[in-house]
Amino acid sequence: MEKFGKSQSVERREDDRFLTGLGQYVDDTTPEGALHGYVFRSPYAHGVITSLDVEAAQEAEGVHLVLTADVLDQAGVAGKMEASLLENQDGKTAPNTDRFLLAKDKVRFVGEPVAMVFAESLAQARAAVEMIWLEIDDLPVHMEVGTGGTPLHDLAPDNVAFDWAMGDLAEMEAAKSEAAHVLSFEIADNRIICNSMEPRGCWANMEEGRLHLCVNGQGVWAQKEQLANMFDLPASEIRVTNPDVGGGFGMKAMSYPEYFLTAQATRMLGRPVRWMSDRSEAMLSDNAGRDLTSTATMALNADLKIIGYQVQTLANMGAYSGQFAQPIQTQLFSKVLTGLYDISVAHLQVTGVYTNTTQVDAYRGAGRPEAIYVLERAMDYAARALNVDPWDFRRLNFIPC
Amino acid sequence: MKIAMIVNGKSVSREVSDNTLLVEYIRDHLRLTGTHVGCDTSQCGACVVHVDGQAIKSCTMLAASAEGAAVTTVEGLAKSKDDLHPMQVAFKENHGLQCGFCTPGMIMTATDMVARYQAQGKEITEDAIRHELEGNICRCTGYHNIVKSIADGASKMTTV
Repeated sequence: MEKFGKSQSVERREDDRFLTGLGQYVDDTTPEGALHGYVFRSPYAHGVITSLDVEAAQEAEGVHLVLTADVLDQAGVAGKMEASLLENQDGKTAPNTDRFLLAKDKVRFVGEPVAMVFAESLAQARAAVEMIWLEIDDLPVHMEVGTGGTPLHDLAPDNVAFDWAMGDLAEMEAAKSEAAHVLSFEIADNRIICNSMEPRGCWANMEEGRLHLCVNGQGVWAQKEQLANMFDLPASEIRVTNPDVGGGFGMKAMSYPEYFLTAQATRMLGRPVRWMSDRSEAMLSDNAGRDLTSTATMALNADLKIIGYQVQTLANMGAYSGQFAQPIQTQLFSKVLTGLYDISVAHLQVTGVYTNTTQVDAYRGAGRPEAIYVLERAMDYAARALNVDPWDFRRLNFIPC
Repeated sequence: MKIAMIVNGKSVSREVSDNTLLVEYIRDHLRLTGTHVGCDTSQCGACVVHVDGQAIKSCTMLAASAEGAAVTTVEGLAKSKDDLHPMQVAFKENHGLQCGFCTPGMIMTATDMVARYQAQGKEITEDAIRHELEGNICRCTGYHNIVKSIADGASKMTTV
């Protein structure tokens, strides 16, 4: 019988291609004759750049172009990446710290792009990258998810990226003072690396005077707008495409320096160029996820009803504020702060901190799984502390229907 | 150097540098892009092909080492567009794939595994499938449907 109606399995249109090797992932679709890009990444976590020597790389066999921050400057590309900035508790916008396509003046994490080489073959590009010489004056590194330490950015003196809050603190304090029980728990949510099966990659080509960037991303419009802003081009002169993508998980939703650099190379050279991350580069440069420590405080009345719920979080941004990073552990976290429970008084305060690590941004659910994790751990810890069954404790506090 | 082999039943020959990996020979020189590179370190298994009937990770074998060999890639399994290999049908019917990037390697590992077990007259249990898949990584499916697909495909494959 023909399948009809709901709750029946359906076959996917794309499966035949994927099963027979006819998938079209980004590195399967590169234009004929494209040059290969390879990135020189900082081997240091923190330091002031004293010299960057790319002369030998420029002279190396097969090399057509070496991009550095200086070369971008000379080409009229300011190279500053966009970030979403929050409004701090004091009403001021969070500091607009710099993140450049290629390190200028300072390096701030191991894996930060410093130069990018474009050559006839991948082997030639890699060999040329090994001829690049970077010297720095070491700075102390700040690794702990906490404020203070040697500042990464002049605009963020205590390594505070933002200080954001939501809710009524006075009501929360009142709930705590009239509570029969006040319980506090520290809940860590460790950093993860996304590790999509297909690493990040892109290629770019000039097509009848129009810039085409093909990238294994999660959408084209934001990327197109950012390219237009970066290169001061009308959007109509840019085309962005996403081919088949081997796993995104949020990590591929944002733009990355390599996409702009590959696009800039094709603009300067007038021929197609391609870049594919290897696994080690993915580990160093893909946006990480999570990496926050929260202190959850519950105020309960004598019947064990939650009358107030407060979360204070330290959220690691890594070395830079990523494209969507700041709103994640704050605005998105707040959407499900109190979950399924009947909690009328709540307060959330989040401090974003800079550390000498790869930037942290959206990953699988982005802020909401983190909020639910904190809440449900806190429910379990509270039940244990109060010596009641965790399911009974949850049932008692559910929003009634 | 000139390297010749038989790929999916056809004789091929290409002039390549001596350090060319088999996966580069297949992807860049023959432009058969169904075989994928996921990790460069022989951990993920997206690059698995058959060389003289054995599953190998093509990112860890020199093309020169496959000189004269018979190589089968994922493109060489189906008889035609409308006549897929039973293992390919099983992956499709059991939703054994999502993004599809690991899938060619999964299918090449699966067909090799089933052929070996059938040749030895051994039953291919769920435990055996899970153990045999230790060299193939998937980030979408959580493996349950891949294991189901392989068990289903095995029941429809006759290699002996």
